[in-house]
Order: sequence, then C-alpha cells, then structure tokens
Amino acid sequence: MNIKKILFSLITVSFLSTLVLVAPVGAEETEVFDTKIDKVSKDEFIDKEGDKVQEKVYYNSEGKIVKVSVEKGEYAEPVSTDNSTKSYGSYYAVSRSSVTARFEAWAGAPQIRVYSNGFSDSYTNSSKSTKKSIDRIIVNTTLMMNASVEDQDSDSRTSSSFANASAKQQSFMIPTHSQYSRSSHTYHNSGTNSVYHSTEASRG
Amino acid sequence: MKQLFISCIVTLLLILSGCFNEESTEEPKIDNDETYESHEQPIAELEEVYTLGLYNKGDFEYERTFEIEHESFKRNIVLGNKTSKEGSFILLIFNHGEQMNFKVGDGKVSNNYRFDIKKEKYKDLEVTLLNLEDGFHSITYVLLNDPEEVPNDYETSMELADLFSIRVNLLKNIDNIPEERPNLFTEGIESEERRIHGAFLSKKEVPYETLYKEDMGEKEIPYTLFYGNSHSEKIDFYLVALLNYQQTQLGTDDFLYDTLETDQEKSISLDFNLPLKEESNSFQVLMIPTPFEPVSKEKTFLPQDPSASNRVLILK
Repeated sequence: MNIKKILFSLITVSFLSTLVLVAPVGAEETEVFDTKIDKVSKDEFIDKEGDKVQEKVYYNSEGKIVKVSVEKGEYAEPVSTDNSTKSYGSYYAVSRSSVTARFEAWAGAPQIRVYSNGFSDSYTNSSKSTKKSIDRIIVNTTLMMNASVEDQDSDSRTSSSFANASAKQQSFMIPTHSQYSRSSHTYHNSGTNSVYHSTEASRG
Repeated sequence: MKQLFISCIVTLLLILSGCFNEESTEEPKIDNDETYESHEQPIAELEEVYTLGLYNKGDFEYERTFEIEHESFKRNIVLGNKTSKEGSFILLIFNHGEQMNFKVGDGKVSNNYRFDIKKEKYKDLEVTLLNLEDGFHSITYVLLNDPEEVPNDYETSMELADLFSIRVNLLKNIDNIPEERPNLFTEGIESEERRIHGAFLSKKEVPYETLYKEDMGEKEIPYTLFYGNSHSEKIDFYLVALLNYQQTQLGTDDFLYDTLETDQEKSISLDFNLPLKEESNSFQVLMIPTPFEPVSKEKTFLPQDPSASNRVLILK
C-alpha cells in the first residue's frame, strides 16, 4: 500500500515538473483568460516577522486565480483615525519587501508564479501590537525577472496605518536569473518631514 | 633696532585687530537642527532613511499654496540624512513641465544644484525661484540621488529611480487655478495589459527589458517609453526627459501632457539621437502627476507623488 502511495506521489511530481520544464520561455497565452472576479477566499496567518497577514485569492467563474493580494493590518484596529493627529504622537513604522512563489493553475496548467510584495506599516510602538494611522502611506513595488520588469504596483492610502503593493509575474517563463523585488516607501504626515527609503528582496 | 621692534608690534596689533574685526562682522550661524529634529517622524530615528521638509527660514512651513506679488519666491528645502553613509544629490525644480532657474543662498542662478550631505546631518538649501510671471505656477522641487552614478547593470538602473519631492502652488495676480489644460498628447499607444506604474525606459526590441547602458556610436538608439497608472484614480501628468539633468526633447516635444485611467498603460516608440558632449551621459524621464491639483495646509500631499524612470547610461 505504502509503495503504491509513494509511486503515485512520484508520478504526480514528475508530471507537474514536466509541465513546468517543457513549456517554452516567454510563450504567449493563446486562450482568452477571464479576469472577472467570481469569488474571493481569505486566509490569515502570522508571518516570519511576527505580523498578522491576510492573503486574499481572487478566482474567476472557472475557478482559476485572477490575482492574489497579501495585506497586513487591514483588519487591525487603528489607534487613531483622527486626521488632525500631528507628529507629536509617538508611532513606529516598518517597511519591507518580499519575493514569494506559489503553484497555481495558469493557462490551463499548474505552474509556479512569482510575486513581489512591498509592505509599509505604522504602529503605535516598537512592539507592533497596535496599528496607527498617519496622513498618507505610499509603497511602490517592482518585480524584475531576467532583467525585465514583470510588473509594478503601487498603493497610496490616506489616513491609513498601512499600504501594500503586490506585483506578479505576467509572462510564463523559467527564470534564468534570480527574481528581484524592490519597493520604495514614503511616509507623509502633517507637520512632519516626509520619510523616504527603499527595501529589496531576491529569490533564486 | 627699537624702531624696528615698535613697527613689528604695531603691525602685529593691526593684523590682530583685522582678525577681530572680521570675526565681529561675520553673521552668527543659526543652528536649526533642533527644529528639524522636532519635525521628524519616529521612523527617522530607527531606520536608514532620508527625510525632506519645507521650511521658511527656521520655521516649519505648513502651507502649500501661496499668493505672491513679487517675481521671486524663497523657501528652504531641508534634507535629512538619517543613514550611516554620506550621500550626494541634485536639486531640480519644475514649473509645470518646464525645468526652471533658481538660486541657492547667494550662489549663481542655475537650473540645477548638486550637493553632498554627510551621514546623520541636515542640508538646508535656501532656494529662491526667480522671474515668476502673473498666473498659476505648479512648482515641483525634485531631488535625485547620486547624480554622478551611472548604471552598469539593470538593478542599479532601477535603484537610481529614487526621487524625493515637494509640491507647492503659487498664484500671482490670479485668484484660482485656471480651468484650461495643456493639449493632450495623443500618440501614446495603449497596452493590452498594464505592467508599469510611473515611467520606464525599455529596449525597443524586447518590451519591458531594462534599458540601462547603450553605446551611441554613429547611430541612434531606439527605445520605448512605457508609462502607467496602477492607482484607482485617473491621473493627469507631465513627462519630462533629462539628459545629464538638463531638460531635453521627448520626440519633438519639450514635454508631454497626458492622462491615464486606472490600471492603464501607454507607450511611445522613440529614437535617442541627441548630440553628446560628454563621454558618459545619463538619461532619465520624470513623471510629474496632477499638476493642477490644489494643495493646502490641510491637504499637503498629492494623491500620487512624482517619480523617475530607470536611469540609462549613454556612452558617446
């Protein structure tokens, strides 16, 4: 029985690997892909940074993934949403980039799709237990693969404690170089100097 | 001998009095660092960041729209280096889509100003805009990082896209922002799917592949300028090309004015064929969004900040 299970697993893995490896680099999708959102699934987890993360996966009517967004803090209660809050209240901001990959049905076959995420968050203190709204938070994220821009995304939020941008692999290819993600983060708050910095991440 | 001794003493006294006179006429240097520190966000004390603020002499400037009577406008641009490394920057200023002349301190009038900033220090630039005529002036102060740096790989080309900015509106003998808009650029080709947010310089033969180092030689360099908007609001904007930080034409236009709907991208196919004076040249395109957006003490920040494309090295 166990041998049968192992054999079945090996066959499945080799089949999936073949699908990924035999597909031509940069091949165009011939079928028209339905991008209309039919349903959304949500998943919440604690990431390696210790932050609560909410992942939303958007499906079309055929059950294929249209897009994935990864957001931190959307459901956290901000300490203050008062626009008049000035710099003099204490708050703590965290920025970071990530590159992740996931198996998903893409152009009729299970394939790996690479995502780049940029996160900008503000909290009341360094323990990062409670979110804090400021006037405007912006994050711009770029996903680079094989020296090309696969996608860029930007999130600019007013009176928010977070901004998350998610860029995803657009063309089906086997990456021959590492995948590179870069995010620029901007924090604007009334009565304060604006803050600029960038974060990077790579995979492969 | 006695006369010589007296002459020496008198000369020494004259030199000393000269020194003291010079010291007494020197203006006392005002240290505003404490004021700048008091306006920092807490992240500035914890992370490797740059900070940028608008000041009026030593005071924080909350206002963003100014009704002016004179031909000049003076404010202080204060950059804080909260990193552990020395930095270098270039200041450029745009009035709508046109690079403008300005003066820093008592320096000469120019359309750019390069400076270094030591780690954990502030740089206070007293900037005077000149020759302001009647009408609405949409002013964007732009700081670009490492102006001497040119890319030898695509990662560096993308890193050199960092841009810090401050926007102010100036109204001279006019009550409101005019309704009239520049002519829209109509030659941008809409992409089927958007990839770019902001502006991006791509190789012509491989769309979206980073243009970062090109040899001019005897021929021209074909390239594609992509520009896109991933935000949920429609935007209008100027596109401005810079060759060695001097505004240069984009095709046949001094600048382009266009709009983008949400999740829309357009592109233009162009050829770089400008005469080059230097062996090593930098080329970059800036996007200056929502130039007619009202800004104020209450609404200090634009929905979308200005951005820069990847920087390209063009060798003569």
